[in-house]
Amino acid sequence: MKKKKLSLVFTYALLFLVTAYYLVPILVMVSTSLKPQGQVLSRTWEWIPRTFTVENYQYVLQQYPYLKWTTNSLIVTLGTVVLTLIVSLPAGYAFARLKMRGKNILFSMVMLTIMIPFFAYTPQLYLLITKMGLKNTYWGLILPMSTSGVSVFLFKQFIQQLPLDLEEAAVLDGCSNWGVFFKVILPLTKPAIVTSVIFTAVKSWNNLLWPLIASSNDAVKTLPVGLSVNVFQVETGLANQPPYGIVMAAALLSIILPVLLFIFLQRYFVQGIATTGLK
Amino acid sequence: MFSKKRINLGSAGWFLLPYLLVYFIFFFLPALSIVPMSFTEWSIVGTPKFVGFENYKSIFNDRYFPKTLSNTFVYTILVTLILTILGLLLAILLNQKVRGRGVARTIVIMPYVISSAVAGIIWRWMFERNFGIINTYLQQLGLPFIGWLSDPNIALYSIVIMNIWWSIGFNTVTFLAALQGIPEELYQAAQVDGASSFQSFLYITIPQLKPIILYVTVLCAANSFQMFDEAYVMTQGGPLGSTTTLVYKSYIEAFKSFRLGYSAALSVITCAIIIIITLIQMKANKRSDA
Repeated sequence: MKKKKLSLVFTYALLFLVTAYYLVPILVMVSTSLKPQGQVLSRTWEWIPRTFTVENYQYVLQQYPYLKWTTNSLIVTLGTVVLTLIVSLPAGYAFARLKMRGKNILFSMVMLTIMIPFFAYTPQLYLLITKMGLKNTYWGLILPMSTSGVSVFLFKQFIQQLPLDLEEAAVLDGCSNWGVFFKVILPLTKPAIVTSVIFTAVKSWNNLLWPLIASSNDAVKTLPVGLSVNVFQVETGLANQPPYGIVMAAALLSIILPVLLFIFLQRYFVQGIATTGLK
Repeated sequence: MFSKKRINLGSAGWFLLPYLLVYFIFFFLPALSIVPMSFTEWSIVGTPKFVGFENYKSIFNDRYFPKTLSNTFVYTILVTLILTILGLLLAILLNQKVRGRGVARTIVIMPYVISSAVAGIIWRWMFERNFGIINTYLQQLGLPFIGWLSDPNIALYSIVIMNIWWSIGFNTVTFLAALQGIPEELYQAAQVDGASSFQSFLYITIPQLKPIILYVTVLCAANSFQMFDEAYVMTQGGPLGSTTTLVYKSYIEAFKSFRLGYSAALSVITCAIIIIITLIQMKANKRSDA
């Protein structure tokens, strides 16, 4: 009994330490963003600002097209998610169920998108986008991000392990392949769709490299680019001592939406990741 | 029967068409064109000039190339090892039936939805030399300042530390789900047989989780191999090239120095490395299956 109590205390201590480690950077960001510049650059660390100020937030919102960047990020993320589903779901179904000559070779070619790192062909992609007149457009940011074979793979694996009976019944009722796809497959594939949506959304929302190259204009610039190029490099480049209060306020504003979404949708989020792991 | 098969044949094509369209235009053709590009010299303006193996020669003669290569591998191996082991241990901790684990789970997983650029900026501030929280506390304890991002011997490891914070959530969730899939009876039986909890871990948990551990390791390696955002935001590849990885180098060569042929040759070398590693891995898997 005593031993059990001891291990419980140990577990709680460990849990507390781990939680503290993961919470500290968030608290540092909140605390710094509420301090006036003079207090940020202090030789002793203060968790609670001596004087609270919202001037950092006001500055960020006045100085930068923050709302526009956020809207752009939302549009690009939503567009990438929708396009990925539109192209990958039928492809996953075809690879799992339909007959076609050369299907296996085609599928290994799709897997190349997972093996070849994105950065390896970014310059060529940039040239292509420029030639097509898609530079600094939403399409230019969305289209190249919808080629990932991860979702195709996920859907193929998931559809393959569905029982065949329902599809056979639908075919006997006179359903075409598209009928089977829309009426039988899609409703059953929901868990895999949730996974794909979460993966694609997180990846797209966080993406820095491609938007950094393909968008130079505030009209389409996404949050990570605006933050790391405009806010961060400009602000830290201007002053001798970087105004971290402003930078942290900008960082905090950018995470409000994803963090809120995560807290409310945590159940789906955890289930979504778990679905891929159990393959 | 024959006609049914024909219908299937035709429609498989229609189902694949949307994906193959974006695939060939936005992946396959650009990816394929790095090979011819790597034999040219081109700065975006004018026309590419054929130079044979010149780019490859100058990469292998570059004094900093071995450093870039070793940075990439040290970083990939370290992050993969630490994030897999720590992710598993964290999952076990968060799987204990104690109060408050729900909140703890949320807090541990949350950084994963924060973008790596933002995470990098937060940590750059924490690592700041004179006023950052870590060095101010070190100083209060009477310890010397550490140049977390300014010391060439330390900077790469600082990025690893930041990554433990930022990206462990994904691994932890994956392991948590897998842990909950292990039948409780196995542990009960082991307990009856007098096994310690460490023995249960070694002989039940680990073997049961083997496929998941492999999955997490591969995913982690693939992601960390492509690390860019952290280096871009935190160190700009420095100091003294100590955080310059293959991705960062390609980016600089293509979009800062405008040496597109050189950058393409770097990409070809990178892809060759990946293919060799994959082949070795496949062979190793086959052997362990046999």
